[in-house]
Order: sequence, then C-alpha cells, then structure tokens
Amino acid sequence: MSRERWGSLVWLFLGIVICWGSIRLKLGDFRNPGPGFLPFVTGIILVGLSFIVFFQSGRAGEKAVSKPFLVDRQRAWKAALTLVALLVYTIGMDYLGFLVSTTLFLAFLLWAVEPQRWYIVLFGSLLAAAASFTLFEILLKSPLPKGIFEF
Amino acid sequence: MESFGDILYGFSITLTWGNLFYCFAGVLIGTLVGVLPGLGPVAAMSLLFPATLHIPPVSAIIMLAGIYYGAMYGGSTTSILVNIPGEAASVITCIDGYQMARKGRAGVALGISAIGSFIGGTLAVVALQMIAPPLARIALIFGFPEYFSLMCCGLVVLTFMARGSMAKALMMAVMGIFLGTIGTDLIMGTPRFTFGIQIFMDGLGVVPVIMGLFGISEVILNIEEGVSREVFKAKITHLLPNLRDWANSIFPILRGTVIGFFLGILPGAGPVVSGFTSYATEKKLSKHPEKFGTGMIEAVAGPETANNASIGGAFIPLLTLAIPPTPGMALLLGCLLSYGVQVGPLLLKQHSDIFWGVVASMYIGNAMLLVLNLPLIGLWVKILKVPYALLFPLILLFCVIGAYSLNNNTHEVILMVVFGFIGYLLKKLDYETAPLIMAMVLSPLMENSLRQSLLLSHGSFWIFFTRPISAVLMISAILLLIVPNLRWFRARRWKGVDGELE
Repeated sequence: MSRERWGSLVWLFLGIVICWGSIRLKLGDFRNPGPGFLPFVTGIILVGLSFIVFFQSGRAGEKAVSKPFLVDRQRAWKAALTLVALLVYTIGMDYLGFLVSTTLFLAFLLWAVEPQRWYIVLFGSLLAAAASFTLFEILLKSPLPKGIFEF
Repeated sequence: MESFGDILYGFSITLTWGNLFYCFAGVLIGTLVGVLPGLGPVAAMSLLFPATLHIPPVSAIIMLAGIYYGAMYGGSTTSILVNIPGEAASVITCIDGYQMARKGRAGVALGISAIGSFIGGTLAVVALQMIAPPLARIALIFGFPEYFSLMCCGLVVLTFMARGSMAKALMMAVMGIFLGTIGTDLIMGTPRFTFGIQIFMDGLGVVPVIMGLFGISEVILNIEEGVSREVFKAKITHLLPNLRDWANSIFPILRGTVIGFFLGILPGAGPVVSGFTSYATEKKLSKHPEKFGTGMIEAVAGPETANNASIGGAFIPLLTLAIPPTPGMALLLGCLLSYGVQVGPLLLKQHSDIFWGVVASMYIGNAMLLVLNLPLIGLWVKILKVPYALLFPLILLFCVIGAYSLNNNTHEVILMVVFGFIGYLLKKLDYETAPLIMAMVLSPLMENSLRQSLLLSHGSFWIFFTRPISAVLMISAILLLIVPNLRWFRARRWKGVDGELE
C-alpha cells in the first residue's frame, strides 16, 4: 500500500476519534449548537476527505513516480538525532538552566549532527549560549530558565 | 483630502525615533531571513513576536510587517546569486536571475529586483491606503452570517489555490479549524480536547504551532535532504540598469504591481502565486518567449515586483475584514488579537494609529530596503557564505527562546517541537501547512459566527443563502469546491500547467 493511502488511513482514524470525542462533549442541536458541534463537523469532513484521498491515491498510484520518503538514510538519522536532542534540551532546560543546557545542546549539534573542529564545537557553543543569554535575559529582560545552577 | 490628512497622521506616528528603529529593525531582519535559505519570514516573525510583547502594538506591528516585506527583497539575492530561493516567493527569480548572473549581469539583476520591489511595494501601499477605508465602511454592514460565509469562502479559495491535491489542502483547513476549537469553549465553558493539560485550556498557541510548522520542520527537512549552496563568485558591479534594461523592465514592473496587488488580496495566492503569474504573463506578452530561462530582465523585474506588491494587497483583507490571506498575515492577526486589538472593519475607527502607522511605515520601510539592498549587497553575499551547518543550531536556539518567552514555560517549546515533527511529516507527504494555520487562526471567529447565525435563524442553515452578500459568498465557495472536480476543468487545468512548465 502506498504511503498516500497509509496517510489517508491515519486521517480516517483521527476523524473518527474527533467525532467520538465531540459526541462526548455534547453536540447540542441546530438551534443551540453545543461545544462538540463544530469539532464533530470537522471530524465528519475529515472522514469524508480521507476516503477521497484514499481512492484518489489508488487511481494515481500507478502513474505517479514519487520520490523516496527518505532521501539519504544517514542524513535521516541526523535529522532524527536533532529532533531528539531538541526534545531532551527542552526538558532538561528546567533542571540544568539555560546556559548549561544550551551550551551542551549546541555542542552536541556541532559535534554529532554536522561535525566541526573541536575549537568551533567548544567556543562556538559557549559563545552562542552566552551571547543569547546576554541578549535575552540581561538586555531584553526576558526571563530564561535558571535550573539548579541558578543561571 | 481626508485620506491625505490620515496619511499625515500615519507619518506622525511612524516618524518617531522609536518607531523608525522598529521599522529599520524589521526590514533589516526581514532582508536577513530572506537572504538565508532555511528560515522564512513567518518563522522569523513568530520568533520575534515574544520580544514585541513589551512594546506598543503599533511599534510591534510595524516591525513584524517590516520583516514580512523585507524578506521579499532579501529572497531575490539568494535566487540570483546561488540559484536557491531565499524564501518561497523568490522561486521563479532563480530561473532568469541566475542566468543573468552567469552572463556577468548579477549586479543589474539585483538592481532591477530591488528597484522593482521598491516600485511595486510603494504603489501597492498607495492602493492599500485608497481601497482599505471604503472597504472597511462596506464591511460594517456584515453580520454573523456574512462573516461565516466570508471565512468559508476564504478558506475554500485558499485550498483552491493550493498546489497539488485540493482534497489534501481541504483536509489541512479542516484540521486547522479543529485545532482552533481546542481549549475552553467560550459559550458553555466546557474544556474541549484538553486532556487535562493546563496549557491547552486557553487553546493551542498559534505562535508555537507556526514556529513548529514553518521553522523547526524546515530545519529538520534541510538536515535530512541536505543544503548545498555555491555562491556566485564573480565580483558584483553595475547595480543600476541601463536605458535598454529600463525600457525592457518598466512595463513588467507596472504589470507586476497590478498582478501582485490584486492576487495579494485573494486568500492563498500571496507572493508565490503572484510571482508565477507575473512570470507567465511576461512570457505570454514577450516577443521572444523562447528566450525566457536564458537571463531575460523582464522575467526578474516582473515577478520580483509582483511578490512585493502582493504584501500591500494582503493587508486589505487583514485590516478591514480580519481575514488573513497568507500565513504571515495570519500571524499578524494572531499578534494583534494578543495585544487586545479588535481587528476588522472597526479597526480604522478604534485603532486608526495602527492602521495609518503601518501604512506610513511601509512607505518608509520600502525606501529603507532600497538603501539596504543596493549599497549593502556585498554584506548580504558574505552572510550567504555562512555554512548551513553553523546556521541551523542558531535557528533552533532562537526558535526555542522565542517559544519559551511566550509564557516562560517549556510546555510551549515542547508543543513547538511536536508541531515541528508533524510539519516535517506533512511536508514529506505533500500536505500544505498554510491552510492549517489560517483555519486555526480563523476557527474561534468562525465558530462564534456559526453559532450566532444559527441562534438568529432558529437553527436554519438557509440564513447563509437568504442574505444577499452571504449567499454570493457561499455560492462562490460551493462552486469553487465543485468546479475543479469536473472532468473538463481538470483536463484544462492540467493542460495549462503542463504548457507553462514547458
């Protein structure tokens, strides 16, 4: 089955979940629509459109020569690594504070995702973290997370 | 005369040191993000939005608008010198702009695109200044049914203009409406799809969602697909076009202004479609269409003018009807609402400082951009040479700081990262994210209009067809949904597209 069809099945599932959730919220009636009314309508339309995309992709599937989902597996791995690092950085920011977590995050990207020379990794990450801290926390007075180190 | 007095009032607001600074900062950042591939104006605007929360709304909008139209100028530099569009609106400039550079005419290509952008941008502001006030007066007669029909029509036009499958674009719009309903229901106070998560109670934040869909996803995609760019090495001289260049460019510039301005008003058309339409028009009108693609100055002047003129047009539905025709305008609408400014026909009366201040700032901003783009071209070329490997960690860092600064909590950042991943998947599967954003922003207004209309009509949907303005808008929307699916139209549409591609 093509990825288009898999995608349409995801939308179908999502549409059904939205409809189910909306019914639980109370739909009301046309005279007095309830909180679930509009979400229910969107769910129904989503279900209908997922069927259209499912059958359209079947019709065009044989003719269309689509590019591969992942261009290069190694680069895809780097993209996944970046995303995971971003998530860990976000969660860790509250505990380690902005300066420490940002330095570690930038150093990781410059070391593991797009490898650079050691001095660029070290000084680049330190400099960028310190400069952004100065700009946002000190100059723009926009509070950044402090964490256990209080900075 | 009334209009002249209003624009003088606008200049009195813009010509203060503070607002001049914000205008300059906006166009400078706009040019920078336009020059750099991988960071678009919408992501940059959402990134800087938290920093604008402490300044007056008029200054904030002047700066954010400056980023938006400034990026149109910067994008052409990358298209001409690197053959990669700095932002989506400059895609078409790659074709002939890069060929001009290869022939040793990079300076003229950059010069004419900056001058065309200036003329198009300025004339579009003149038109905006003249059309918006009367349109706002007409919009005052709109009731809830008219608003609901207008928003439906706007979203359908947007999906109609989307490239690729209309069903997929509609899906995105529907999904956007659903995402907009998440949070506490305003009428009954019931929490909807919040799963007990506190930050969902006030609804999904538009800014983290936009940053995720337009910023994070773009970076992830660039890392996965790889960004290679080779900057044109020859020295850039002779920025000013000669008389022959002027003769070849002046009519494309004027046509580009008209095309860009009117397409800018339409939801979804925006700068990208304006540029393509201008290119197609110039090719059709040219005595030498076979030379297009070999470095024709008309093919640079027209589209670059059109994409700038479209910004002026796009402000009309935003400031008079609260309908954002592009994701950038959707973000501006979201910002205005968060500053507590009621956008719509009453904006001109209740917040005339914002309307006229922004209009006046666009005159000044366009002049600043002309100065920034011609003499400072060497600086932009140097910035272009910064490798993406060093740039993407900084883009991610600024996105994180931007999302965090919204409410000073990491939940917004996590939301942004999640939408970054969703945006990446959507792009991979050829789903356009613009309809999702616009529908999400419009969703609360849409729901309120629908509920109030049904209350007025005692539950009858005929209310949308018995009032003339609403009926015209609804019927247009229905026709736009049906017509593209008719066999003969599909055949003509694809034949036309194939012809253009050839």
